[in-house]
Amino acid sequence: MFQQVVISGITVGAIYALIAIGFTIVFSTVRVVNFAHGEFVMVGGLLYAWLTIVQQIPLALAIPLAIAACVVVAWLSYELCLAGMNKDNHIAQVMVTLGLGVTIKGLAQVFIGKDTQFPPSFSSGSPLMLGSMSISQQSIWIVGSLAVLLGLLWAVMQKTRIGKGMRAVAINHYAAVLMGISPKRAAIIAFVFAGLIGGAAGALLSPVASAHYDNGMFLGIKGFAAAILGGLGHPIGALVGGLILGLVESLTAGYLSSAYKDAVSLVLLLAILLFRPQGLLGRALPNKL
Amino acid sequence: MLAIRHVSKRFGGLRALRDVNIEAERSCVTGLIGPNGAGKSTLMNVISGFIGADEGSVTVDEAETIGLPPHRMCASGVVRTFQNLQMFSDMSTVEVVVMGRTRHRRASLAANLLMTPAVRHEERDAFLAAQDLLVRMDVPESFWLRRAGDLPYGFQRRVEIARALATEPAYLLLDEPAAGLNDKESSALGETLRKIADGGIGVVLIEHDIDLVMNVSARVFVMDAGTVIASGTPSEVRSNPDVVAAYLGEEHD
Amino acid sequence: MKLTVSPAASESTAKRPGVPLSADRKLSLVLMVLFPICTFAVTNSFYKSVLVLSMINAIAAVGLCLMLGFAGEISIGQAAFYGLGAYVTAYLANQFHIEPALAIAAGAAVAMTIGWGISRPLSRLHEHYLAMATLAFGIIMYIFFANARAFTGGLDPGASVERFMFLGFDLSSMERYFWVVWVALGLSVLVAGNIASTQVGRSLLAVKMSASAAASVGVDVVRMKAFVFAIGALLTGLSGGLYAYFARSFNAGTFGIGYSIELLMMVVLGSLTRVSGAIVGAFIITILPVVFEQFEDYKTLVFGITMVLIMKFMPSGLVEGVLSLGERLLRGKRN
Repeated sequence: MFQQVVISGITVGAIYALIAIGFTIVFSTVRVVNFAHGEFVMVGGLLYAWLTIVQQIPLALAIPLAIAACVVVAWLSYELCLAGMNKDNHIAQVMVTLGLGVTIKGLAQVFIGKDTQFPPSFSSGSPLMLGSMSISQQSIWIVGSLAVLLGLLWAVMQKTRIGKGMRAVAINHYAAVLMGISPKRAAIIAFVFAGLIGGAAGALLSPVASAHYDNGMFLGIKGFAAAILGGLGHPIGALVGGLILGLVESLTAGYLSSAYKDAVSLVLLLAILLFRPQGLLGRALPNKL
Repeated sequence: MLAIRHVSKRFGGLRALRDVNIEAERSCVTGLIGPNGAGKSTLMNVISGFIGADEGSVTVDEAETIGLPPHRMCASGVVRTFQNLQMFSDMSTVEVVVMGRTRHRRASLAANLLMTPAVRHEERDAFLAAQDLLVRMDVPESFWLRRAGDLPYGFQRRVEIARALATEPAYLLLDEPAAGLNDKESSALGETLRKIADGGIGVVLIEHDIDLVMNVSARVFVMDAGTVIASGTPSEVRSNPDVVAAYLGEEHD
Repeated sequence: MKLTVSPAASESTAKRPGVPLSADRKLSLVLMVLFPICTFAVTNSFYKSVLVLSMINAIAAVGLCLMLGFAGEISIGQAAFYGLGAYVTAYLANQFHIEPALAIAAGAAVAMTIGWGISRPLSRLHEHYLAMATLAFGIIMYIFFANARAFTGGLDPGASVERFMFLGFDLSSMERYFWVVWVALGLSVLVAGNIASTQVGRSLLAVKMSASAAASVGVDVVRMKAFVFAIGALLTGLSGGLYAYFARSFNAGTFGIGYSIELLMMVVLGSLTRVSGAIVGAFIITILPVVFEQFEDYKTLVFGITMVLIMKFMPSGLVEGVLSLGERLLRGKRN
C-alpha cells in the first residue's frame, strides 16, 4: 500500500512540477502570476483526448499537435492580452489573466464540449513490476518527460543566447535592455515555454486523470502551490515543490480522506504564502507594508 | 528637538547606518546632505518608522519613538514626504490634502458609517483646513478639484507638502523635494521652507541641490558611507576638508 | 474663500453645503427607486424572482466593490463568504428555530468575523499572491461545503430552509420577499455610500494608491485593510443569507469559484469606485441568462472575453469608463 501511494504521489508530483515550471518561467521574466496557466494544461489534455477519441488521429501525431496548439494559445495569450499592459497595475494584470483563463475555458466548452474524456495511455502494455510494486506505463512516460523537459529547459537556459537573455531579463530588465535583449521577446519565449511544458503536462495527465474543460483552474492552483512551495522563480524549486505536493496529496488520499486531499494541498499553499512566501528554496523577499 | 542618537542599521552584510547622531530644532531648517548611498534615505525611513533600526534611539521632544509604525510616528508629530512623489493620483487635489487631516479626525469608524452630523461637521472643517493650506502653498484654486495626478509636477510637489503640513507636524522631513524642479521653482521652494520653519515647525531637508540646502539651512549634517562626517553652519560645512573630499569634490568633477 | 463647482466635480463637492449628494449617491438612489418600479411593471413571477436575485447579488457586489475598487484588495474567494452566510443562516434557522432575520444577521456576522480574521495575514501579501491566496481560500471553503454534509448537506441533498417569517408575518412570497431584499440592499448601499463619501473611503483609496503615503499621514494601513475585508465579507454573507431564503433549497454547487468570478464580473462591468456601478453590474450579470436563452452555453466565453477587454482598455470599470469618457467630452464642449 505505502509503496503504491508513493508511486502515485511521484507521478502526480511530476505533473505538478511540470505545471509549476510554467508559473516560474513566466513569473521570473514577466513578473506576472499567470492565472490562465492552468487552462494551458487543460487545453493540452482536452485536445489530446479530442484528437485521439473524436478525430481518431494516431497518438504519435495527436501528442505533438495538442502541445503545438497549447504553444499557440500561450503565445496569443501574451500577444493579445498582456503585451503593452501597465506593469504597475497589478490588479488589472491579475484580472486580465483571470479573464483570459475564463476565455480559454469558454472556448474549450463551446468548441470541444462539456463531456469528460478518457484518452488512451501513450503506450499500451502491462504495468512494470518492481517486486510487489506495479508502475503503470503512463507513470513512466510522465516521469521520463519531466526529466527530458527539465534537461531541455536547462540546456536552453544555460547554453543558448536566448536562454541567457531570459535569465538576464529575470535579474534586471534594464541591464537586459543594455545587453540588447528585448524584454518583450523574452516574455514571448517565456509564454511559449509555459505553453509547451503546460500542454505536455496536460496531455501526459489526461490518460491518468481524464480531461474536462472545467479542470484548468484546479490544475493551475496546484501547479502554483508547487511553484510557491519550492520558491517561485526556481526551476529546481518547482521540481521539489511538485514532488512534495504530490506525495502529501497521495498520502492524504491514501491514509486520511480522499475528499479533503485537495483541501490539504491548498492549506499547504496558504501556509507557505503566509509564513514563507519565498518558498522552501528561495531567499527572503522585501516585505510589503 | 528631534534627536537621532547612535542609530545603526544593517542590511545583510551592508552597514547602511553606523552610529548616526543628528539633531533638528524646531523653527529652523536642518539640512542633510551626502553622496548617493550615504544612507540618507535609510535614515529617513528609520525616523519615519518605515524600517526598524538595529540600535539607537529617535526621540521627538524627549519622547522615545523608535520602533513605532509610520502612522504612529505621524501621531507623534513627525511627517515625511517621498523622494519619488507618492501622490494619491486619482483623488482631487483638495482631497489629497484632506487625507493629511487623518490624525485630527475624532469621529469613530461607526460614526463614519452612519455619517452622523459630527462626521459631516468634521469633513467640512477638514476641507476648509485643506483649502487654507493649498492657498498657503500657492496652489491655484482652479487646480483644487482637478485629479491630483494631472497637475504639473511642480504643483504635485507642493500638494505633497501641503498634505504633510495638514497633519500639523512638529517636524517635517522632506526627501529631495527639489528633485525635478527648475531653478525658479527650486528657489521658490526654499522661500516656502523658510516660511514653514518660521511657523514653528522643524524642517529636515534631505537634498541633492546643495545651493538650496546651504541657502535655507541653519545647520547642515553631512553623511557619507552610513555615518555623519561633519556638521555645523553652512559656511563651516563648506570649508570642512572631509566634506569637500567626500562630497563636494565629487559633485564638481 | 469660495469654491466653484465644476461639472466634473469630484466626490469632494459632496461635503460642501448646498451640494448634498454625490453623483454616485444620486445614481444609487435612482436605482433603488427603479427596482420597485420594475417589479410592479413585470407580471411574470419568474422575472420578479430574477429581479430579487439581482438585488441579492448587488449586495455582495457592493461589498466586493469596496474591497477591490476602493482598497485594491483583490478577492477571488468571495463565494466562500456567500456560502458561509447561507449555511450559517440555514443551520441556525433549522436547528434553533430562531427568527429568520436574526439568522441572516448571524450568518453575516460569522462571515464578517472570518473575513476579518483572514485579512490580517492575507493583507501583507503582494496583489498576485493575495489573489492566489483568496482563490485557495475560496476553493478550500467550497470543498468544506461540499463534504461537511452533517452541517451543509453537501452537494446532495443540500440544505433547505422554512418560509421567511418576520415577527409572525409570512413574507416568503416573491412580492413580499422583494421588499425584504430591497430594504437590505438599501441599507447596504447607504452604508457603502457613507464609506465612499467620508474619510473612511478616502483612506481606503489612499491605501490603494500609495500605502506608504497613507501611513505617513497617519492612516493605520493594516486596520483599514482588515476593516474592508470585514465589511466585504459582511455584505457578501448578508447576501448569502438572503439567498438562502430566496432559493429555500440549495446545494454547495452554488458556492464554487464560478460565483466568485461572477461577482468580479459585476464589479468590473460597473465601476471599481462607484457603489452604483456595482448595482448596475449585478443587474446586468443576473439578467443576461434570462434575456438570452442560449446564454448559459456561452456564458463562460462571453464573461472571459469581456473581463479581458474591460481590464485591458478600461481598468476602472466599463460603466465608469464610459461615464468618464462622456464627462471628458462634455467638459471639452464647455471649454
